[in-house]
Amino acid sequence: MRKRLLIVGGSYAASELACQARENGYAEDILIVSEEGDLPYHRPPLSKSYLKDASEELMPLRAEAFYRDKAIEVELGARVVAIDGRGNRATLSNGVVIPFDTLALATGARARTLPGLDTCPGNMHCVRSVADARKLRSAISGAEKVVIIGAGFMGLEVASALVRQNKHVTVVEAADRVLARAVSPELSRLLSAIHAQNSVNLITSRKVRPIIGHSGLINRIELDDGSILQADIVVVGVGSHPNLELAQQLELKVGNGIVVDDKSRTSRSNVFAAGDCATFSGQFNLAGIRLESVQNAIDQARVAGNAIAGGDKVYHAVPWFWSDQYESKIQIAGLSGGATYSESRHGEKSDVSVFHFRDDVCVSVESVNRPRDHIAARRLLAGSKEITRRNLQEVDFNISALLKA
Amino acid sequence: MRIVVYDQGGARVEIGDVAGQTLMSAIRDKGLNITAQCGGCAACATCHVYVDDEWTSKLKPVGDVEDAMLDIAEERQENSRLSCQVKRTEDLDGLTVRLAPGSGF
Repeated sequence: MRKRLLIVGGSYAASELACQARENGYAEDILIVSEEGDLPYHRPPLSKSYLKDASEELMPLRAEAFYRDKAIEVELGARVVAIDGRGNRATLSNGVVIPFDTLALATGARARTLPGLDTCPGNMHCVRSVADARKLRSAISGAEKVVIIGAGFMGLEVASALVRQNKHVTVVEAADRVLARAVSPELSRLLSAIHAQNSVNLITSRKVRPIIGHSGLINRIELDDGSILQADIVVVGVGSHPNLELAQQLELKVGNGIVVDDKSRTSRSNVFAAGDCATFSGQFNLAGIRLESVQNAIDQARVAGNAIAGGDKVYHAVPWFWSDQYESKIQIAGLSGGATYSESRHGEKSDVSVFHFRDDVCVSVESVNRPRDHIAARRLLAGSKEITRRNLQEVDFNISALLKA
Repeated sequence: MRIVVYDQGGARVEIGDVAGQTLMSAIRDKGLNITAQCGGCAACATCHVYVDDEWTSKLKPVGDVEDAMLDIAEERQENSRLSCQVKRTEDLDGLTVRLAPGSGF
């Protein structure tokens, strides 16, 4: 009987892991089981262009023909409810049992909800899947007042998409600045200013309490200073929980995510994990932060697929992220947490890069509309030579110049 | 309109029947192996192609962001482009490209 690689999940990590296993010579069956109704697709547009243009279509990561050509079977609309780690069998919600030899968990994460809400009011939205985005997109035209809870990437991108459609947009954040978990205070200040210029009402350091009306919808949001915000629709972007239920059934080592090594191996020898559900601590992420990004999902899946095919690639990737808000392209290379010193360079067209140092060594560069700085930073951070504050001072923070050195 | 693509292994594939609005989406929708990690916003270099010489001058010039991103592509050449930045238009009937080796960064 043929062996089987079973991949649970339906996004970047699942798709890339299957492709890489095949590309690297894995010749057994590959089956992806995804709860979603669509083939794996690009998620970043869901909170950006997808909300701005009702005709914008879902963009698949790969065409159906590609999976077919590579003999990668994709089962959509199916949920794995149980995994028997001793018998190496997975059970779907419809009772079908799938034996496997190697298992990859790419189960992702789900949106956190607001505390104190035991129902999901019809006018409350989040944006994780295309189903979420479709629901929000169809509600936009009938709404005038939008309250966004949480000033993370998702919240701010939705704010920039909706305020440009002449909605009255308020963003409420519990922390004292926007994107507090993701970017430096310098970049937070810059982005706050950009949103204020675009008429977004930004409120920080405030907790919220949604008030449900007779209709069962949220009709207003009460803040902890007693003020009230009227809302036609409410978008919640307050972080995520990794989907760990299957990992727990298998008694895998978990923290804030399934703990994996530099080959995306879990604590069980035939089980791998990658993407939003996994956590890995390495040179570029000493704290082992669970990274939720396209880059991390793809790079972790690549080493997992390679390992499953018998390869020996290891994860050694500089984390990078991007966000588009208004005319600003925000690009981040490396993680700035734990930085001890920062320095900014502003250009003439409201473009800027913020350089972050830990013990005089550059660990992260955040750029707004400076793609060259971003690319140079990614290349330099990935290199074997440290970039010091002095190195950058010598070229007046023109980081591209260091590539030629 | 028709596009001719040579894949990483050198096989010739003609694309005429898919709707994709950019060169990248046409290549992807045909089922060829193109990573296009960022989905077409010129934030990576994993849709890197080489454009056949007779076509390079007929395309809109490389933009600033695209130019920066091409710097991280493996084996950038004079005729390198990010296929997500090339719009499919009628005057490009017969456009011929080769998928570049590797997948960028």
